[in-house]
Amino acid sequence: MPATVKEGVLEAFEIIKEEEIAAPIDIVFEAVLEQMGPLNMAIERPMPMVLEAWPGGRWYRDLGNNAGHFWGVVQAIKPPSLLEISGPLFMSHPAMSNVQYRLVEENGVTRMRFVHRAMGWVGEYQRGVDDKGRGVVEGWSDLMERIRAAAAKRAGR
Amino acid sequence: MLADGREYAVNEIVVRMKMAQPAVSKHLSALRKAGVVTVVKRGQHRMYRLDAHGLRPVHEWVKAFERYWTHQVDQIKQRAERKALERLIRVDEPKQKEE
Repeated sequence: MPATVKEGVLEAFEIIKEEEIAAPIDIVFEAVLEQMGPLNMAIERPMPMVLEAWPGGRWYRDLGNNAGHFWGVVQAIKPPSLLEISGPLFMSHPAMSNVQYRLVEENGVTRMRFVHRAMGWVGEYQRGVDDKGRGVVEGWSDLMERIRAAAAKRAGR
Repeated sequence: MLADGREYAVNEIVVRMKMAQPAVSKHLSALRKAGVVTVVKRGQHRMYRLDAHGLRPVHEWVKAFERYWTHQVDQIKQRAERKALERLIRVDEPKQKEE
């Protein structure tokens, strides 16, 4: 089985979002845990996740019958000011992410700083080109559909 | 500078960016390896041009996450603010009853 050396396929990105929320820090932290857990959404579609909110806890999609998708592990948690997760998220290719929610409360308003940093493989599929050089469908909807289909297949649905 | 889509020689970039030539060459070399710029030889000059196609895969990759997290953060804000309001109302209720 010959190995293929790939060059120029590693990329990295950073997404930072800051939000001021008119709510006490404990409520915001609770909302973060709920949103990352049972209320997680894939844009318009509910996609409940399990978030074990302790150090080393898993963040994963439980499809029952031992089927699912592991998204990450709780790297650090300091209620109600920090949640940090590291893992592959929904990337079915060699890539690693670090996600952080940092909360600070001032005068009843909570400032939430969200950071997602990732690095890893952007292969032919992620580049929108298949193995014959043809364009393939790209973007979030397709990526999510692949996850759904793969997960449903795993669950035997 | 390269975002206008035109070709530039290294010395033009050096002058415009006010950087040392070795530093500019080093950056251009890294960008060329990453597929973000292309280079062609014209006479004695090597001309560099931005290759936006090289940026596209990364853009597509990031776009998926941007949409996902924007939605998540919006939902967290909405939910937390609604909960805070509900808590305020609950705290207010006994006071009103006492009055």
